[in-house]
Amino acid sequence: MRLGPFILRRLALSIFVLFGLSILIFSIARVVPGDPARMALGPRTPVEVVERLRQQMYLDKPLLQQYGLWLRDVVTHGNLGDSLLTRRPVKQDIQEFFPATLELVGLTAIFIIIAGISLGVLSARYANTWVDKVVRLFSYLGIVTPAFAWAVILMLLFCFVWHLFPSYGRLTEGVIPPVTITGMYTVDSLLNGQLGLFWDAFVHLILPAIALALPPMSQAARITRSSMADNQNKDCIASMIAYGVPNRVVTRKYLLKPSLISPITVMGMDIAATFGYAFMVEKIFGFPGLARYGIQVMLVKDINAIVGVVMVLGVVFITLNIVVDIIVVYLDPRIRLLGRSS
Amino acid sequence: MMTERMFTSNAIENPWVRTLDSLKKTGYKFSRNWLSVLGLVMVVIIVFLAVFAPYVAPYPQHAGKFVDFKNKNQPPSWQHLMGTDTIGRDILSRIIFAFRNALLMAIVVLAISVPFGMLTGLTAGYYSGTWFDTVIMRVTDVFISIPPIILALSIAAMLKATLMNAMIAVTVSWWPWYTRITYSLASSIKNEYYVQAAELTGASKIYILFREILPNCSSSLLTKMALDVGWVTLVGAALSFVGLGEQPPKPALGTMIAEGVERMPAQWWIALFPALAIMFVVLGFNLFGDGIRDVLSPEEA
Repeated sequence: MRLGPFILRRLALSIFVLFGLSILIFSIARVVPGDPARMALGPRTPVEVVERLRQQMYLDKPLLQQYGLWLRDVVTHGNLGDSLLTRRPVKQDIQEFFPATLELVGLTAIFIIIAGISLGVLSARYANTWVDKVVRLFSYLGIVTPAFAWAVILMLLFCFVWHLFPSYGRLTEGVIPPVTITGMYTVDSLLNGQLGLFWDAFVHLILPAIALALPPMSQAARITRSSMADNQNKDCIASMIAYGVPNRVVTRKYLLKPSLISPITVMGMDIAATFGYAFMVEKIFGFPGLARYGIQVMLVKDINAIVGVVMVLGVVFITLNIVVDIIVVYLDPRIRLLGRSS
Repeated sequence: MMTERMFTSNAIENPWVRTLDSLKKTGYKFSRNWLSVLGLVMVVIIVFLAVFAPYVAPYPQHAGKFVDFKNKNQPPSWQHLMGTDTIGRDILSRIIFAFRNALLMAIVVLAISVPFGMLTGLTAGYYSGTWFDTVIMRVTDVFISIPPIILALSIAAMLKATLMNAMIAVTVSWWPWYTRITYSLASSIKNEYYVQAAELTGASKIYILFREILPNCSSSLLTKMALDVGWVTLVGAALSFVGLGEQPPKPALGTMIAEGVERMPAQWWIALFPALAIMFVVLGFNLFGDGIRDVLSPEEA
């Protein structure tokens, strides 16, 4: 399978899926009982104002036409409508809050990948010794404890018992955020050369990121271990060891690569799901990200914003899946060479 | 003649006896792994607490509208093992009652999404390569294009915040995963010789789907169901954490954590114990589910 056509096919499929997702979420938003415009403006707003909003949101048109108009706005202008909560374009809200979440999930992903894979490799390398048992026990605990429970536990220990980390927000109160370039404080402060600011932003990220990372990291460790263990028993590995290939080379070059395929697939899904759990963790740590914004708009049934948030997360999820597929193709010569031979 | 009769009588000997026999064997295998047994014990405790909540909770009246400002924010003590919350309700009692809704949610969600996902997955898997397969699986793709927790949150957000609607939201985002798993099993099982044999003998499609293919998917499905009780509880707690589930004053694990987080440094017990309770549920059903998997999967025996 050549990479070009493969990516093209995946992209085409993703566009179809995104299209479907938009229909799904859009129709749920419009079909549920209640007048979104009335709900947003409250019972005491005059009828004319509500009517104007209804027209603005195309609520006076048939459902199919509503969808068509919404889709036109999205595709031509990238316009997701106005948020009824913040009274600003949803796009602007998302642009403001998304970088914070991206920063958080990015750090989480780094933790998941590095810690998950190395713990798994360690566990497989010392299989059935005490190292392995400790890692397996902790990864079990990690998987069954949801991120928001971790957030509560970590916050208690590290913020209130030991006072090691801040418990609230993106920066210490009163600190001026860096000039916006990407919107991610850690990146922006580095680009501006403000090391102190970088450290402050980074320290605020650590605990929420660990809370989010622990469950998927444990999952990754477990899968890496079992897939290494499966591959370790293969004849090719045994013969390589018999030929005297150094253990280090066998592990790094021949064992790790095929063993990483299933953990990477799972990690891709898990990192995407992290955006979901970020909803809770951001609330606990008072972290002003997209997820916290998502909760706020959900509670007031701000349908434009809900649809916007879901679509953005859908795009992220699908992109991640494509990236994972490409990595897997790269790692697995059986898939990579499939198209060439035929 | 004699041998033939003996043979048949052995083979069709009372089927119940045979089932009982294999159940005994399964039970024995299950009991060999102490982690599975631990999981079973935890599950039994959770179910027992949920069913008999009014009798086992130390302060059953605290599960509803109840205020006792004299006893608010009490740390854990012998009177209140897990302390009391901001309006003086016993946290242990509320957790026990919250188990009821959590289990109810898991049962309702699975009772709808498993048969539905199973049916669609089974048919699509058996007829894989036809238009039916394409339609079902592409629809499934759309539903699983975002993590279930986000889909459930956004659906629940657009409905009125009640336990019922939270169940609907979770169900809608849960069934595609059962379709997926049944589909992948069914589409490979349909190529097995015994299915082809049944087709050649002219067995009906219904018979093939439900008597030949489905029983061979059941161990994976059962395992997933046992694990999912824990995960549904988790997503349910996530919904109520945000405020989109059971409404106060009725107890829900997520709501209790959300309330407790605001009281974090001083009254740590308000958030911590509900969080540990969720951990307990997920851990219990995970150990139990893994135990079932070990027993039912022949290759890992």
